[in-house]
Amino acid sequence: MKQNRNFLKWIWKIIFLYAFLTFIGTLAVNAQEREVTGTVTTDAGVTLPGASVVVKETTTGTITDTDGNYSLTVPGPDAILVFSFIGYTTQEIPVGSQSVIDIVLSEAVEKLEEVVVIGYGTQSRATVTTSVSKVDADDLRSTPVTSNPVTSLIGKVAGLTVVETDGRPHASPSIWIRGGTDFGPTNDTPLYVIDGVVRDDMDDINPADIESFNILKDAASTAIYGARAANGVILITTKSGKVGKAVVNFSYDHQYTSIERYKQDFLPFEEEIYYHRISTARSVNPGWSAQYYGMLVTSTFIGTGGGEGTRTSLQFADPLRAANNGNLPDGFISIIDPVYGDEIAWHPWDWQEQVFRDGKASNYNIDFSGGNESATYYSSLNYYTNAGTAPGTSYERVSLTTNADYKIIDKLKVGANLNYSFLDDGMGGWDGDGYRWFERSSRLPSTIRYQDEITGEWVPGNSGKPNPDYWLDVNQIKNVKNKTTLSTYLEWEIIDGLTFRPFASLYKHDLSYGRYQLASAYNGRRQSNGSNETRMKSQLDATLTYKKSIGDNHFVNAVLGTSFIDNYEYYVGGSTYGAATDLIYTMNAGALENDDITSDLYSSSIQSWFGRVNYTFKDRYLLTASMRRDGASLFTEENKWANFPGLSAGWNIHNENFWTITPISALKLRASWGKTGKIRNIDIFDTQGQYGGVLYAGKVGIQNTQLANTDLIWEATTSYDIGFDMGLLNNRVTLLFDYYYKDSHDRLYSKDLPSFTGFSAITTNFGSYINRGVEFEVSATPVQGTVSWNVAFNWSYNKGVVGELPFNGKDKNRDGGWEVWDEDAGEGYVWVGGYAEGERPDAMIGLPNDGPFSTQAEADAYHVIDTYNKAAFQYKMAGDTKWLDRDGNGKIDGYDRIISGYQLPNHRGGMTNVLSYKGLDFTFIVDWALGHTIWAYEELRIMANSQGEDRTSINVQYQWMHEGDVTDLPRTTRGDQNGPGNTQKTGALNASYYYPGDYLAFRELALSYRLAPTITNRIPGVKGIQLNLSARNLGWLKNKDVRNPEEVDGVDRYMYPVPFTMNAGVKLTF
Amino acid sequence: MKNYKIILGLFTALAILFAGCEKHLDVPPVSSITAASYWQGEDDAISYLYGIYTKYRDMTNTSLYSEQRADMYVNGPQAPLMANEHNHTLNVDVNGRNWRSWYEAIHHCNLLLTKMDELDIYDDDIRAQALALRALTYFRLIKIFGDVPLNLHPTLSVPEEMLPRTAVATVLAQIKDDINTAVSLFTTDGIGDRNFLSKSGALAAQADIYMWSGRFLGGGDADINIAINAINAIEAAGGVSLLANYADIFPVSNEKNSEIIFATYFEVDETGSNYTSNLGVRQDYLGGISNIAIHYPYVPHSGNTGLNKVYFSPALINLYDENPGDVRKDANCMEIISVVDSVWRTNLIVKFTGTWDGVNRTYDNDLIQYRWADMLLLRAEAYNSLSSGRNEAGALADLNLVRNRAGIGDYAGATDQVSLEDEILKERARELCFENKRWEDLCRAGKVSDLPNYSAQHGTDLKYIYWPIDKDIMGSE
Repeated sequence: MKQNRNFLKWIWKIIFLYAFLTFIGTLAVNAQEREVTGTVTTDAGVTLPGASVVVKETTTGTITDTDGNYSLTVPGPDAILVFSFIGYTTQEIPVGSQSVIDIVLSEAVEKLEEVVVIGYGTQSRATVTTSVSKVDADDLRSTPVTSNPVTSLIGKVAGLTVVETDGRPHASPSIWIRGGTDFGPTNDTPLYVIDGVVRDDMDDINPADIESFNILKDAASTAIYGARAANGVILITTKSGKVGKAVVNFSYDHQYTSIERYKQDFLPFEEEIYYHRISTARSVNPGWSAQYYGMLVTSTFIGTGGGEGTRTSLQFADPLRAANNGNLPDGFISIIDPVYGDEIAWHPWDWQEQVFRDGKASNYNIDFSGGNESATYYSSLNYYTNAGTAPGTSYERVSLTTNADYKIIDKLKVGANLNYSFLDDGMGGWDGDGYRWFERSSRLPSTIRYQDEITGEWVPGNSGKPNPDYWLDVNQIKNVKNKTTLSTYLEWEIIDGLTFRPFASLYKHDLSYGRYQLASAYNGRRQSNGSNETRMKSQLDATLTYKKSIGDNHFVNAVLGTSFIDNYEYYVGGSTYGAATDLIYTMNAGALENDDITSDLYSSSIQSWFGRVNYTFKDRYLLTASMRRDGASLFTEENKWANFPGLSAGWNIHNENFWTITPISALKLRASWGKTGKIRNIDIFDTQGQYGGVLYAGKVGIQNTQLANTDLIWEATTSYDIGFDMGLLNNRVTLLFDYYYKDSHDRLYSKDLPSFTGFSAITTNFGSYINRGVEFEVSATPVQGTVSWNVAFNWSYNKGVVGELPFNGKDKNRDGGWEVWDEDAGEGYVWVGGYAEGERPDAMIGLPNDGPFSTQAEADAYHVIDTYNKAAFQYKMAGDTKWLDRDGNGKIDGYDRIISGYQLPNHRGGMTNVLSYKGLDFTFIVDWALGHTIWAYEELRIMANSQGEDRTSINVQYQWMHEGDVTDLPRTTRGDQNGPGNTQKTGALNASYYYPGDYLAFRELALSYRLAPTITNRIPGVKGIQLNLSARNLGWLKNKDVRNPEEVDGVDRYMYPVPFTMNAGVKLTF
Repeated sequence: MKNYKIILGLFTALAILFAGCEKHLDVPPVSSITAASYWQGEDDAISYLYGIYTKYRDMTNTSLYSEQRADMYVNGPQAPLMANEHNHTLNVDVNGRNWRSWYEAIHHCNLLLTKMDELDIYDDDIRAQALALRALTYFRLIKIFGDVPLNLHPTLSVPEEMLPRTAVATVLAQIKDDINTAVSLFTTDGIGDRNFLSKSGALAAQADIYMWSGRFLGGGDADINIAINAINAIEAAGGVSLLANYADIFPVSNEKNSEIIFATYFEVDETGSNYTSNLGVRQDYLGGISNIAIHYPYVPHSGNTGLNKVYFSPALINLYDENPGDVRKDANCMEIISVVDSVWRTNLIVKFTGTWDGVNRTYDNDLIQYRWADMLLLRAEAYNSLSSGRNEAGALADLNLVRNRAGIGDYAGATDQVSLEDEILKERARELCFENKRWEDLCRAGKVSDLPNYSAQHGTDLKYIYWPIDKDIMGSE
């Protein structure tokens, strides 16, 4: 299989090279270049130095000199010149036969004049009354290519949280808007609408195809998408061709990725074993089980009893030496046992080195676009390959896009969009949980030698501590997706302003998976699994749009539409084992009696009606009302349909005659209200109940396995939003501000049933979750001229609290949580955490301590019963942790715990700086999150497990060692969680390992240089050359004890880390 | 003319726009069945009944509430199975049980019975089996927990009211009503497929229930006589007999033999593991097959699985040793001593040996619920325990039938009521050990306190025979 993949890679490379050369050749021949000159002035009549003059759709361009003059070679009369300067409105002028083009640029209402995409239409930013944020591809041009384009939105939009916590090459980030709608927002992915096609994911999209992202945040803007819009909507528009000469762009990027900085600091091997021995010896305490003493000689991992040639034990040196003429065998090291004084020898193995490597990625992209008055096209081909930072992990994407529009007659336009992508997700030897690689690297002690001494083969290890290399060798995994999107539309202007637009699309997603386990000396089963899943989504939309100005004062923009979406899913999968040979790894080779096969078919549909009216009076008073009515097949007859209204209004105060405050050049007040729904996490069996098949005596029996709830309705979110858009100093500075209140109610909730019903739960609608917050975006151009500086800043604050919970008789109807001592409470004990009305749902709890006892006298004076330990382990020694008996009841128990923090940050923000000088752009992006807590679980493990079963933290050497030592790290003992629990404290997480998670991430640093036309002109056919150098994920300002402060669940465990990326790229335009 | 075109255009657009697809919103599931689509006719009732049997099989696939509480097992050396239930130190925190799974079976019975009424399905054999299964499930519940909620309605939505725990007597009345109706409904006498309840199976259940009622719940002679009549009716209907050779009753190859009245069907592919896998012992634990093969031509070890969780008790061996030549001793119990070093390796219960595939043993014996020897000894117990009209001769006759098959001849000891009661109880242990009968036998005879483990904890106080209820159970009390 590996052979084939390499072959495929070469094929693609050849195709690209061929395409590249062909275009250089053809374009060089067809060049009709000539020179255009002119002067750029402002509307105040001042010449404008440093203004950009670029041939459209190319990187060919120049900058005006100190007198505002320019001179530029253009490819021919079809060329269009784009004149731009920060803070001024960009102008496009067709060259035609002109050789002198003078231009006047007027100051721009920059951000406030853009056009935003809203559901089933577009709207000028000046008249938008809802909360919509827009990110243009241009804003992301410096970001290194990633497998999922959404990743580049990190820190760009207030209220949009994008967090990357999984570094696997194919991984998608967690993404949610305004705190999401669920207690844990990580699954609250917004709805994606890609060129009108409604989808749940977008990992197959070629980032270079994206023209813009429009993020609809409040319910008034998303209500037009009704039942599935509660988590917000991200509208993605892909590129289309522009009228003019054909443009070809080719880009190549090469990336180097590294996760070096996530490596754990472990003790050197010798010291590690030294501390293991001491820790184990310490376990032989009064009252301790003798079994620990026994481990000094018999433990699999650190005992010295294993004989020579065994793979998992330390060995006394003498027999080894004897067999090697007095020398240690190759690769062995030795120390003097601090317990017995013997010499211990072993072959150390650094498993961290084994699972870390540097990754690399390459991206090839070529696109062609152009068109004439009647037809335009855009077509692209992309090949992305990423060899991950763990052995065996990889990702490949081949993506092909064609967008074409054709004007049949003046009033009739058709268009089609085709996208195909092939995604090959190489998961390495560890299926599905490749991230555990990294956990293994700290779980596998250095004493474990998973290699057969004689044959040199890897051995599997046990299930708790498997050997990554072995599984890499024996597992053959194929995980391939093919995604195809086809869509077509017709646009018919029936009369002026009235357009009818039917739209049809088909989104097909095939997932094929196969896993074969090669036979080895340890497992001859030859397990083979395979599955194929097809998901097909057919969508039929039709809209009728009417735009009309009535007199000078009234403008109406109305949409009426319908949509029908049909989902079809078919799964077939099987497994077998017992093949006779490794030559055939498909399931047909398995033994017939071991065959197990299953198939599943599922379909559902949604039918919708919707309408929206925008009304503008004198550009001052703005009103938008929308309504969507959705019906879904999975609800019962009486609950199939629901309405989702949206209402918003705005007031452009600056357009009023009385507005005389000149520095404030624009001010719009906005308010909105809307209702949206969510139908995720529910299927037809929740509404109709389920009956499942079973077998008895060879006969098929049926059982009612799930209760029907015919009353189920859509989970809904109602939200309010008020805000303003402001422009200062002729809109050189623009501000967007929003306050929102979001109530997600009728939550789908699994209600417990009494046991006598025979069922444990039924799905019902109940309870609410309330998010409120503020968002603030600023965009400004502090410096403009030859050198210009543009800054975009955003900040958001969100607080999510549980609204209503089912009545359970407890205070605040608390569900879960812990009863703890609270000095301030009158009665002393209070319930905290879990889910409680009016409280955050993400509390974390820990057991506080006062560091280790310095002396035995201190330990002896501590007369507290540790209920987390067995009676045998109550005896405290100097160096043991002094757990705090906060309530003074003489026991260390659950009541002594404290709330140690919350999982989710409540402040997030980001800042993008772009400095430009001539063709040189320097981009610097940071983002931050504040207010959350990280549990340093991995550090706790390697601190606590000084027992030979894990690697050991470098900090272990700073532990309490001798009577009188004053330190904050307790002495280590073998089997910490079973012994005194100095660190781990099973059942009551040690509060010492919770740290503030606040961070400032240095997300991106980029330098791009557009070669001067004087250079590019010398190369025939080439219109522009751009060189990029960028780095991503450079590091954080953070608490030093936290490794990754971005973990969304607040637990810093050893997952597949998100790499640091260096990217070098070149983009050529022909 | 232009207006005409516009109107036509608009009309076309609107027609397309509003051409509803509403009928597509009814998408019935294909790969699964919903409540809305399932109940159509009699075939569905039969399939649903088979479904209930799988729940009943799950219920019967454990020794936790029976054998593990009595004295036929002792903990094995490798992975001891028994703890609080054996030591009679059950406590709510550790051992509290939720009875939801039993009520799941009851829901299924209730749903089937309700739907048969709604759909006018008059198949008395299905109805009889559903009622008998409900009776047997409630019977298990009252034996384990005592007072339990009495729910005779299927669960269709969130219940409007909480059902309290109902007195055993009330539940028992319902159980009797159900089993009596079941017995009367069967359209044919005797036994059909022994993996399903037949009229004889229902009669065996009736005898079992009435003996419990008569002897443990104070029903007295009236109930005991009903039990005797039920067993007589099984005998009269025929189709059941004692096999000549005791050991032939149990092998997988000889399942559904004429001694079986009702056994729940067991096959690994239909369900998970059989509780008898607790009896297995790994080959390597025996020191390797070569170590023992000479001495024991056939040791039914479990291959590479099995943890020797329990083995037979010295108490059982003592019972066998009361009568020299009892064939049941070797048929049920094997002591394994290495031929190499004469070291005792372990004891092994060999009554249920499942299927050997050359590498591993699959424990897949059917779970015997009622068999003829059980009924004979139950009738002997009934005859002997009548307070008026005690039938000593009848009791001895039934007892001796079982004894003679075991090769130990007629009973020659004292025949007063107390002695004979004792002897019948012992005989039931020798005959029915590991078949999950012993604990109930002891309860029924009021001899739980004869168990040293029980009396050490609770003396003669019978209230501790009931199992503690999980703290999270809603709707109780």
